[in-house]
Amino acid sequence: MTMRKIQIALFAGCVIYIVLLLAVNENQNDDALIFSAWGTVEETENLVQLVDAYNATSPQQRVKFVHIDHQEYDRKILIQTAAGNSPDVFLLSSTDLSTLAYRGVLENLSAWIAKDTSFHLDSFFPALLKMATIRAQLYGIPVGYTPMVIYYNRRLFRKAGLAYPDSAWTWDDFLQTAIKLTQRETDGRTKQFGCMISMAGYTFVYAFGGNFFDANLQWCQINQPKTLAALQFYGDLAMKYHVTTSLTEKLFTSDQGFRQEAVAMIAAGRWQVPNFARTKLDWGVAPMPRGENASAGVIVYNVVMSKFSQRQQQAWEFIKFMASARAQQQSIKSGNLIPSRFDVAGSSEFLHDTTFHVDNRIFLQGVDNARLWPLEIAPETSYANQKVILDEEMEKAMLGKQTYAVAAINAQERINTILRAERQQTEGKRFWGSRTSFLLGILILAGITGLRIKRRK
Amino acid sequence: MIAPLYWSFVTSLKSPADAFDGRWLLSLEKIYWQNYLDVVKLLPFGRFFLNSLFIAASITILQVFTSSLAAYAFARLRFPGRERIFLVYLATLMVPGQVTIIPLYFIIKYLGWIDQYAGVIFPAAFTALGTFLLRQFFMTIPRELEDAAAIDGASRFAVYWKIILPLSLPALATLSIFVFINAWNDFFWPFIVLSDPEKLPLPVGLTKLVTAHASDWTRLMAGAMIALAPALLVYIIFQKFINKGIVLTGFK
Repeated sequence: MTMRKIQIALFAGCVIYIVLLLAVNENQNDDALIFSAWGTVEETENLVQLVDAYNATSPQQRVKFVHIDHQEYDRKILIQTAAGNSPDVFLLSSTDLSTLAYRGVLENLSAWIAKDTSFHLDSFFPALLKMATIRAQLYGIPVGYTPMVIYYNRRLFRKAGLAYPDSAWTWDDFLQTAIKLTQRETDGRTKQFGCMISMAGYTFVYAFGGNFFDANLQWCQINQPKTLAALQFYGDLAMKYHVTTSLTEKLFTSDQGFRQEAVAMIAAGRWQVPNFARTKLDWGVAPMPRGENASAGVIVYNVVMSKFSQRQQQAWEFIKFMASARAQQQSIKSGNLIPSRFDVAGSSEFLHDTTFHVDNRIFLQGVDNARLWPLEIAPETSYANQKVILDEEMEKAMLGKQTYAVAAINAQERINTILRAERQQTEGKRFWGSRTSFLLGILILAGITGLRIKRRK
Repeated sequence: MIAPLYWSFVTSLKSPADAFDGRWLLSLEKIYWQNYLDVVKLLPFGRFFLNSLFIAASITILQVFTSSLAAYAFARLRFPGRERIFLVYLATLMVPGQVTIIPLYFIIKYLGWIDQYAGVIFPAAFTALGTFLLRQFFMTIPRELEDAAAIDGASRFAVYWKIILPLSLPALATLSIFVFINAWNDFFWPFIVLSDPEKLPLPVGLTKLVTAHASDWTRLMAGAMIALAPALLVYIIFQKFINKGIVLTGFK
């Protein structure tokens, strides 16, 4: 073969290959509404079934389910939004909801609810709706939630001669139980920890009557006695009573420790019910212990609409379907979430569902006083930064490098500084974008021009 | 390196109930093949595998081809500003990937390549690293060989095709192997560009076994083991080339 023929063959090969590559373009004209969510195959199976059910009822408004990995969920949605092709409707937890709402990514649903007389919010738990509300506007409709509960190993309880916890147990009962469940080797090493509750985030503080922010979530106010007492109690579990792993000896996650029977009690959400049901463990569920009040830290899952969706009416119809009692009834068997509607949560189908052999009533306790997991924080764009600061300062306290009082003062100061800066920046943007600033600019320009003309003369 | 790999393998053969029993050895009757069957049953694993193979192979072919052409130009052709252009080309290596993600995504969207294989393959088809690596290698080839070919009437392309490429096989093989392994394991860009389950490569598809707070470890490890196999196979088969290539090019 001559060089000329080789060159022609190579060029033709490249052209055919590139044409074939570009020809795989079959979805470009797909006009389906895109609905995205995260989760494992089993977790999203229910969502896929709901989408199928919706498509069966309204074939003209087809919805396509697109899975997005949880670890990079926000990032992909933000990149897609920046390029103007985000999913039309997507699932979002309440913590992420506030961040994206502040960034202007989400459609304000209050306006849609106001003009749609067929949709009412009366059947939803008010505390859950509050978590999807930013500056008095609703940005998501809760389709389910999970409270933090205590999972306990029944076998280890029986072995220690302890009664199973009930809904009346207090944090002091919890501590005494954890002490009795902790077992040590002869050389002093711990072979079985009584508890691991890090997964509960900071929400246990609320049960002690503490808070991290003022009532309006405007300014950080950690430095208050009840909050400090709660944080000290948490720190003492590891450093004083040694009933949980300290930061320096964290050998496993709470999930792993519980499965290995190296930890007797853990805090986690509803998602562990289907997971633990597949193990050989003899496990039970109890509500979080009571403190001064019986509030529960919850993660709320909302359906939200992209502000940039090209099919907003279609998206709203789908959101209404996902929030409907019918859809939530259908989701009961999946076992992943607790219904966000009290008409479904209170139904005998849910209360007496025996799919996973747990008492579903436990998951409903404290929902009226539910607080946002992992903690309630000023819902600004700096949500993640605020939490990182808090984690850093608390970590130093847990390692004994500073007292909780000092940690609280430091965290409070640092968080309020970034909030102040962020709000000043927002105010600045508002001013420069306002009509006043425009008129001021024109006046200055006219003044300068006038002066120049005067000088020339 | 061996210990985590071995742990992953053993975990992939455990039942979900025994996932964290802490044992490093399994008796034959305890081996739980179901994880592998579940992974194949739950996910369109064959499809993910083919997608990965297609994407990784395409990126490898295109990147090695474009890099070798550019490297030849920078190593042998004389044109004004060659060194400066090469420096600017190299400087693109210093730009973090995160900075270019959104502009790149815009370009891909403009070209209509969102959720298309082309959106994953073409941005990876041109790299400064491959060009730099091959240029350094091409510069070690004696010019006399090219001059002799030129005297015999060979064109520039003929010299590149018949003299330079055959003499650069170890460097080309090394680059191909590293590009293939990187493309096979790449997660973030395919994750951002692709959404259609029919087009996902393995690393992105496997995230369907991972959830927010608890993962399906035994199945995840089974999936990871299957995903790892081709990259491991490439490494084992072409180990000689890799060693030789590292010695010749200093590329790791």
